[in-house]
Amino acid sequence: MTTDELDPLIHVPTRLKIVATLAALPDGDTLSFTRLQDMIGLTPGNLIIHLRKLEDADYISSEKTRNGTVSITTVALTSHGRAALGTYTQALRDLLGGL
Amino acid sequence: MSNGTLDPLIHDPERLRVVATLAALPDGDTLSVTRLRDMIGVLPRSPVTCLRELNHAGYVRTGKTTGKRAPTSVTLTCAGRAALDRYTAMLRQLSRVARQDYQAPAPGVRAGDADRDAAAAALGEHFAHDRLTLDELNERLDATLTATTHGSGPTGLSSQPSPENRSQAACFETPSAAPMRAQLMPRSRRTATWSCTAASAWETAA
Repeated sequence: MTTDELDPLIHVPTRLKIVATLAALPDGDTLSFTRLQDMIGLTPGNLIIHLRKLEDADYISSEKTRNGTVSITTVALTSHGRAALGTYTQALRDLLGGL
Repeated sequence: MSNGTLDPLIHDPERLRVVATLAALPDGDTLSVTRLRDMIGVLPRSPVTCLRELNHAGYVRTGKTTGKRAPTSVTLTCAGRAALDRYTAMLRQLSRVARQDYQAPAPGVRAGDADRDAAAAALGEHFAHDRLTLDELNERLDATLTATTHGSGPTGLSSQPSPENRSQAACFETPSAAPMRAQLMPRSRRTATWSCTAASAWETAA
């Protein structure tokens, strides 16, 4: 991928919102699925599809922990994902110039 | 357009490139379509298609200046420039909002163990800086460790040293600054400042 190309995986508005939200976390911190859902305002089904796409590309990592009867899914941005977002924002900045 | 969404007409990568290129021109300047195509390079869709879509929305204006042989020129309209401004502002906001959301969760959002621990640690910090008395600390810690949601409701989690009926500013007031403030402020405000220290005594008595 050339540098002046916008990463199509991140460019989709919903996924951009997900990645930007996760990037705001301190490095190594995770966010629960329900919390992310509250913040972005998506339905669970919708969110899980986008998360799966991001996970397939190794942009995010998710972990499911079972605590008795309840299971909690936490997601975090991988270093690969953080780098991809950095490349994306740089490409966008180059494209938009000083705007 | 509703607030909080990125303009889909501009967000499309190819159209974004066209709009950004045209926006780099000085206001009112035009560009020929062939020149635009040279500048943008090869795209999956021809710039002409992008221009047609943008023209339809009123974001660009295309036209021939003189005669039939003259090249078609294209320019960004005021509406297009405004839409791009809104779009870039939205992008900038996106990362900022994400950050704020994380730092201050909305009241009513369920709190987890990590949140409760963080709030308890913050209370300890406030106690260490003499912003809370020991009694206040114990009372708040009890409330914090049993809180189920964020915010300052009856079951709410709040690491601020002040209860919700007192302003945070009053509580963080240093002793030396308080009398000076009292002279400058109207009477009602003054009592609010003083009640900060008085309230701790009142709470232990009650």
